[in-house]
Amino acid sequence: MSDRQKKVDRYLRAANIGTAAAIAFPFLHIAMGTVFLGYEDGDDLIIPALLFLAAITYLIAETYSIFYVFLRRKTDEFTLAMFHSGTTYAFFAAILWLVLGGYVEIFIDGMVAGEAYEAAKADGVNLNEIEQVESTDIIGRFAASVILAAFFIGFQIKRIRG
Amino acid sequence: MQKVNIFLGAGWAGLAALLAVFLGALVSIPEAILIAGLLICVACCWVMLFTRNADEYTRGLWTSGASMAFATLLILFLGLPFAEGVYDGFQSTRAGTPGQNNERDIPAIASIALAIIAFYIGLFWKRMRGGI
Repeated sequence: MSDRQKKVDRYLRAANIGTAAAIAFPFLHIAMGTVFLGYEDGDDLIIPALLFLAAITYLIAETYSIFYVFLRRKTDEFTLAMFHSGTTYAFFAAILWLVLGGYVEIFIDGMVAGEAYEAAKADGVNLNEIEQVESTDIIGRFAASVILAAFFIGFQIKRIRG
Repeated sequence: MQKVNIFLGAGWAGLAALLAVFLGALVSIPEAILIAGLLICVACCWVMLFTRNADEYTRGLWTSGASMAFATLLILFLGLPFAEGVYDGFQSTRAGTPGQNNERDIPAIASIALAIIAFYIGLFWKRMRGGI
């Protein structure tokens, strides 16, 4: 196997690690939410510790992968083409998620708040006593993960299509 | 109209809209006009996305812009929160209230605005330098 082929293999392996991490992220997030929100004093620490370890592994894998793929993108023409496909997907995911997603989030927040207001009014609750709940800012919180996932989707689509 | 002309025209239109947003922000014009300018920028990006494969030159311009935007997003989403956290932690510790008021002040939407700017810088940088 030539040196160049070895470099390409390493490049593709790094991309596979990043893709696997991007796929694992939603499951990891749901698992952490479920375990940590339901955690009480005296509960077993093994599962939270394992999840914490998994989160650290996710961060290392994603960071290593994205920087490797970025820095070694000029290994050959195919790796460069895959990288460019990934950047196109990531850039458009960023625009859709942050620009249009922001408006969707505001719309949904407003709709939910309106329904809660009407329900409270119908129940005879004193409307001056209602506290305003802060937005969960889902768009801002998940932006980096969505952009990275879009990058690896674009990358792998180009790889499959050749 | 040829796809190449559409791509290049969209590039100019997007850049003009971006500059108009900047100048508008400086002289405090109504927010609705700023949002309209930003939406024109985004729409031009969409037009360029669909016409980027018109020829090798337009593909080269597009990849240059998209790579620059992606690099900016990486730096902003991974590096900026880290730098902001370190700064907040340092400031709150100096003030004798460690861990307090350590919130993210720079909104995520600022990152996408900078990424769009980086996209146009990458696009026109490649265009000025010429070549594929």
